[in-house]
Amino acid sequence: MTTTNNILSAEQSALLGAVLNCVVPAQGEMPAAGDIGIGGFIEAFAAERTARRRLVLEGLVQIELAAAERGGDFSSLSSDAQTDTLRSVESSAPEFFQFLVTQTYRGYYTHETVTNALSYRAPNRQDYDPLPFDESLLEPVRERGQIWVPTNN
Amino acid sequence: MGSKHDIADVLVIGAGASGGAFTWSLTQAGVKVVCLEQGGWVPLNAFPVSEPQAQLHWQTDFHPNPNFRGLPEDYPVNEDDTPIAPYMYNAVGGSTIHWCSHFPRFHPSDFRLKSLDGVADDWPMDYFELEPYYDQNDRAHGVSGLQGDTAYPPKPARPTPPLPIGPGGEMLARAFNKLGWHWWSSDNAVASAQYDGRQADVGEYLRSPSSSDIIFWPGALKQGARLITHARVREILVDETGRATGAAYYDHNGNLQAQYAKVVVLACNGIGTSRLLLNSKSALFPDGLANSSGQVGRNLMHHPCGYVLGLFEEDMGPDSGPRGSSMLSQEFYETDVRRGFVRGYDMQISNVGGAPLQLALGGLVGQQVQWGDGHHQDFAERFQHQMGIVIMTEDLPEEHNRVSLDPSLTDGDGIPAPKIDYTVSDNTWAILDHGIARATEVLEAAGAKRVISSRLRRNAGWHLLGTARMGTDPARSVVDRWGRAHDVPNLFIIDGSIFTTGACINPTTTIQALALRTADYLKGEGSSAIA
Repeated sequence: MTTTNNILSAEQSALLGAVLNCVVPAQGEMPAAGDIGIGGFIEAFAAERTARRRLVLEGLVQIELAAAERGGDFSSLSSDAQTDTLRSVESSAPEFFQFLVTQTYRGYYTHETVTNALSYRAPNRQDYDPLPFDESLLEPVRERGQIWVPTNN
Repeated sequence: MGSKHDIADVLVIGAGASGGAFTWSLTQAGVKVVCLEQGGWVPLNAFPVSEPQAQLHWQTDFHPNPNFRGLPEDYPVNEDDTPIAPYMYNAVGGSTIHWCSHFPRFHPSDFRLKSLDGVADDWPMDYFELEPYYDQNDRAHGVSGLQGDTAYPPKPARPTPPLPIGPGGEMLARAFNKLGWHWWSSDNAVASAQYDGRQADVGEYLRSPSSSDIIFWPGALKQGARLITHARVREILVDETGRATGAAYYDHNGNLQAQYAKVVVLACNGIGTSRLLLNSKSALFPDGLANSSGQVGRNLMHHPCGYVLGLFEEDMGPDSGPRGSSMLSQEFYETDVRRGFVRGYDMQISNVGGAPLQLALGGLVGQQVQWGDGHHQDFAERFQHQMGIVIMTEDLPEEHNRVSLDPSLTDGDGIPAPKIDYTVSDNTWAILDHGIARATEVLEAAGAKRVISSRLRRNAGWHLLGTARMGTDPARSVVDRWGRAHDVPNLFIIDGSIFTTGACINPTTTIQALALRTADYLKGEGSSAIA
């Protein structure tokens, strides 16, 4: 991921990374979103438009405030408290949160580490094997006959 | 401004599905055709899916909605008052660039709604008049499919074999058979084998390999057509007698130009054509060109779509092959009043495994994979374990569903932009609910362990129809049976605007068949217009 514009401080970047690790946590071979740099992807995308920049910066403040209500900064909270914090922001700032989740998925599921972990191969000529179509499956349809409605033409 | 001495036989506005087919046909007869297209060329390999971030293009510069895409050649559309977002693409090839290449024909009954069902109007033509043009269009594309579909009058052998339906498709086929319902292999415009010098499509690119810039424009240009890209038309020009003389347009540098012609043909889709007509006001046509009936922009029809997704234990195989539907069911296509609605719907089955990003964002069902601790389990349940069914419904024409000019919104050249006002009818809601229930039934019969559905997809405004409707009565329609404007004898419309009714299937081959038919008219019975 290349960040072309920096709009976040080091502290804000760390907060965003921790949040993303909660949005898409690590499991098995699948990495956590924050750990593979999706925060940088989101930061670069947000930097392109003033409205996006504002949405992200204000959203991070909302997360900080919600975390403080639960006893500290986001990173120091238990996993359950982090999830509870994000649920409250999802409810209070739905536009920001939808943006956050969507952009996380955009960055995460187009990241090579993730597509490799999924063993995903995009459609390609080498892999394509057009299986023969078993036309015998259509016998019941053929036996039933015409279903189109004539119009006396 | 262009010279009045440079008069084309025919000026076509829009190089998409209909403009390409029409120009290809006319230039075969040596007719001098100039085409103005507001977009440019999109190379076939512009968006290779092999690039890890290819799917991001769907979210940005290849988004189907011009309001999201926002490229210089796009015009904005006010979509505040419609539950279905407009999807279109501005380029040589038009919206077929984005297309899934579905190629179903209308049924004979689709031309006879008034006679058969007592609703809407009959078309001033019928299926069998269009049939040779469907056949011609099939041959041009190398359509893949299987002859013998019992939902249609007999069709010739399909030029290339049917697309594979995959393991999931076979499971659904058995389920349809168990329920005694119709299903068949889809006609698809992607050639499944090498055809006419083109390789079989295997889904390597985001954009369609069977769009009109690939199927029709190379031949049209070779035959002498002149195509001017990045040319945005401001208005149709008329003389003092009310005949069209050409069009004023902004060229790629933003300079105002004019192109004159004996015949003007609009091929700008169901939004762009009515927008252009409404913007072409004059003393003779104060309410917009060809609009003495007041019908320009009215009767907008989509195909409102529901989507039902079945999740299976079985592995449905990898994301492979062309995008789109390879099988369909037309069991509930025709009217059966016992169902509580008129007309019906088409079930289109997609067997694509789905790229990870599209799947995580919810795809056509629009329900994102959950975030948090359950994320990976939710994702894994869907990834390569899903089969989806699109419920594509018939949308009857209603005058209040319309395209008008927005009072303040404009495009980059200051031309007033369109606004859509649209509501889903009670009849359509009843069709959608029936379709979702039946699709759920067949997915469960196929063994789905969980079914997710979406009653109405906002992101499904691909089909823009009916806003310059065809009819015999000039007081209630805009064009006659040949697509000629009742009010302007040398103005023709060949896009989906002219549909009298919309059926419940993808309209592209019907649009192109109508365009090919109008081209034949201008080469024959109507040739005096360009003499």
